[in-house]
Amino acid sequence: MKERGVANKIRNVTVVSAFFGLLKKNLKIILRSRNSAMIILLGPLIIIFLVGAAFNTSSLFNIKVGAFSSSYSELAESLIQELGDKQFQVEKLGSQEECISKLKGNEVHVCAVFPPDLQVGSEGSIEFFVDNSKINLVWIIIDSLSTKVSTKSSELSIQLANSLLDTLSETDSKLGREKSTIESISISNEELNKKFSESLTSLDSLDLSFSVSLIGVDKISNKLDDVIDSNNYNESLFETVNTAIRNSIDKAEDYEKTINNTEAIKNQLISYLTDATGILSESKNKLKGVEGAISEISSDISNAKSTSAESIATPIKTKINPVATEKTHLNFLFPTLVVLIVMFIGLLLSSILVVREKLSSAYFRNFITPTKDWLFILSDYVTNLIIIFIQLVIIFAVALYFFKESLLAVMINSFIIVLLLSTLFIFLGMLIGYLFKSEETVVLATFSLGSLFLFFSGTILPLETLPEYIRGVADLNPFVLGEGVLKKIMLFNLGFSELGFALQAVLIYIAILVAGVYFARRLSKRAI
Amino acid sequence: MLKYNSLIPKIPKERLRQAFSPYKNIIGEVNLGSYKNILSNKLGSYKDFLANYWAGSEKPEKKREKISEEELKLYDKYKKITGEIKINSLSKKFGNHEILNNINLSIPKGKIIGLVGVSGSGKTTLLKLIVGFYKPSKGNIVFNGKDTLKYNREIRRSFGFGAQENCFYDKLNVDENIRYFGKLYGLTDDYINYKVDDILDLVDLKESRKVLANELSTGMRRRLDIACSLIHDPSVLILDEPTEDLDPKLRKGMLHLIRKINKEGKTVIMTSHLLGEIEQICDVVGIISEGKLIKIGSPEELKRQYSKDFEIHLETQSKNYKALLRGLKYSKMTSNGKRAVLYVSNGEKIVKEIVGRVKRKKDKIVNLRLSRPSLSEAFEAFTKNIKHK
Repeated sequence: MKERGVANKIRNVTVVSAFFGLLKKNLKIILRSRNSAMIILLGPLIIIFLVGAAFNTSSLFNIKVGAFSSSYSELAESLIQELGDKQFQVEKLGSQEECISKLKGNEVHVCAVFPPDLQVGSEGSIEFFVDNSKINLVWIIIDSLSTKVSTKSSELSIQLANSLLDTLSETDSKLGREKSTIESISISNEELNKKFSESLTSLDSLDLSFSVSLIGVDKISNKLDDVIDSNNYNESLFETVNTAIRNSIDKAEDYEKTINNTEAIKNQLISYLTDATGILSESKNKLKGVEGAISEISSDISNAKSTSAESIATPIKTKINPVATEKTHLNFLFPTLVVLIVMFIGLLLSSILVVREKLSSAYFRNFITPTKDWLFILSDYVTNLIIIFIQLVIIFAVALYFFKESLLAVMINSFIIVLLLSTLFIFLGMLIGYLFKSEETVVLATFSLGSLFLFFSGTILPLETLPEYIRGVADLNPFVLGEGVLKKIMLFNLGFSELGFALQAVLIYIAILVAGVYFARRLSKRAI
Repeated sequence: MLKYNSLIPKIPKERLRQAFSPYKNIIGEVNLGSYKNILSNKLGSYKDFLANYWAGSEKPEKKREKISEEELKLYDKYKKITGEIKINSLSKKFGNHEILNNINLSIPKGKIIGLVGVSGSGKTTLLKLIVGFYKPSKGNIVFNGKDTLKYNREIRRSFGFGAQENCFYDKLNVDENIRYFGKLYGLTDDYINYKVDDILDLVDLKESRKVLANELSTGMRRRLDIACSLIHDPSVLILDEPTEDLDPKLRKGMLHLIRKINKEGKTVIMTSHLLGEIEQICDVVGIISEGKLIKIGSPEELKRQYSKDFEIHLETQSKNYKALLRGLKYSKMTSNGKRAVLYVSNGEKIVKEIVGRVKRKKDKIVNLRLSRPSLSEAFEAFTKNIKHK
């Protein structure tokens, strides 16, 4: 019993001892090669320093713009001046051909051709010639230039809109004035109409019915005749009276005619007045309509006046709100950079370590010892992890200098994820190391695989530009998964539970690769 | 006045001596009085330290430590696991290519057995099968009554293997290599410390223990390989071409070492192209040809099987062999003018007769040797027969 206890104790001790022996051997072999030791220790430090210095800005620098116009207008000059700030260097060139030729020769990054005597509203547009072969740069340049030109264009639009608004304002005040005139016309019209109505009433009430018979002169004449007849008066005696009566009758008849004419005139007047009243009413309504229209126009103008020139020039305002608050390219690039370093170092280091071990004459002796395969795999993994860990400590320490609190807040989670990603790439590298037969082919395979991951990652070309079926595969690219997970943690401060599928996929990859490495190691025995 | 030396913290002399002992050769005996002397002795600050680090001698030698009784008993028990190795109807195929075909062999414990055969005959494959590196396609190997496949881990502890290529790390020094493989064989640090000096003594590498393996000479590399095979104290040592690439002097030394190892009670299984060595050192020799074990026996038995004749090598002053040997009964005689070789069945009688004739003819014997035909000749004849069959 005691003996078995001692044996078990010794077995446990020796497994741990063998593990550390393997680890020590791996590290010694790596570090005793001066070049690899230097690369391992200084490589990431140099990369992070260079990238930090290069990308710690949010702008493009030293973009050369070639400009040409057969006749530079003031507007063209002001646009050139606008472009020629610290971001762009503008060089006026002699011809469009020269400009394009310099673009092809990479002496300028973009060529801007202004139409002669460029004016606001003049025909012809500013043409930008760009080199599409510089796939990444071209869109940044176009974007920057468009921003610059649209800033100028929007300044001009605002000026135009302002003068338009001034004219409207003036029109509004004029309309205001005219509106009161119309109002007074309308009032006068009303009064006139009233007076016409009164006149009509008066006229209407004027009774001009007259007839000679109404006066009864004929009756007097008859009576006189009767009297004369009855009294046998000498008619001559009454001649004068008769004449007078006849004259009166004649006069009455003349009056009757005159009154009849007057009535006709009255009727005509009434008819005229009725027509005039109708016309006045109509014109009153029209005036009301005009007044209403003026009010409406005035109100519309007032509304238009309350609109700012800016909102006329740019009716739809856009505001880009970044979900991550950092300011420089380095912030956005850092997760990609870390995954890139981890990927290449993980793949290269582990694959070379494995293939060197495989090609070493000592590999055979390792197989004939009672030490189990998993211990060799574990020690290789831990060796690589230690080296990557040291490098990550250096990288994160340097990164802390650039990012300070923003990185500090997500440091632990980021570090855990990076170690997880390191595990993935280490096992992938180990698998390559076991599958390939020489150091050259291993390095070639590692770089090819790394480049493939990088190419289908969105770092060089956006994944959205790829066909859908390739994008589906690219989404499962370990580099894409790693970059996505790390960005979520570093830029958006998400927790592990929010990482979802990507984290699960990374863990599944690791499990598959561990099994793959185990079997590949066993298969590698055949090559000895 | 404040003295310069008083500013320097006191460090125990022993610790300083220990710390700088690897640099003794560079700086001479260290004066422990102050650092000033150390610096003035062109230590070159840490430059030399780094140089030594890259060379693999960054640590002072570890002292031999005491090992617990229980541990010793346990390892002694492992050491005592020994016995006959029985190879039963063993065949090995790689794809369709048959390397070994129906090998039956019994290797008694404590003996030296040599396996000979032309290149590609399957010797190395057989050794790798014995040590459990390959699985047999047919048949099995039994060691100490146990199937080596079933008890693989246990068996591996009892076998040491010195391969054709030296199986150690060039970037580790002698000591580190031995310790590393000791750990892989499941030895504790204490036990390795206890064993390492003995092993280094045995292979005569004690003086070179801190030398990087790639800086060792060919002979030393072979010995280091054997040391790595012996650290776990195996009862069976398998050596694949141990004298390959060694000059005659080193070969002699290697054979001496193998004998020394065998004298410790270990069974040695070795292969070699040099049949003279095999004949000289092995108790049992097996001849393998085209994957088959065609002959097995002691060198004498094999030679006897090849021919019952003795060889008489004769050189006289007169060199008149025709007249001298006339009338003698021999099966074959060859002469190159300088010396003659006779093949006879009754060696001693013929030698006496020759000596008598030389005396009578007042001639003088320059050289006279009676021997059996060499193993090399027997090997050639046996393998030739197989090919003809």
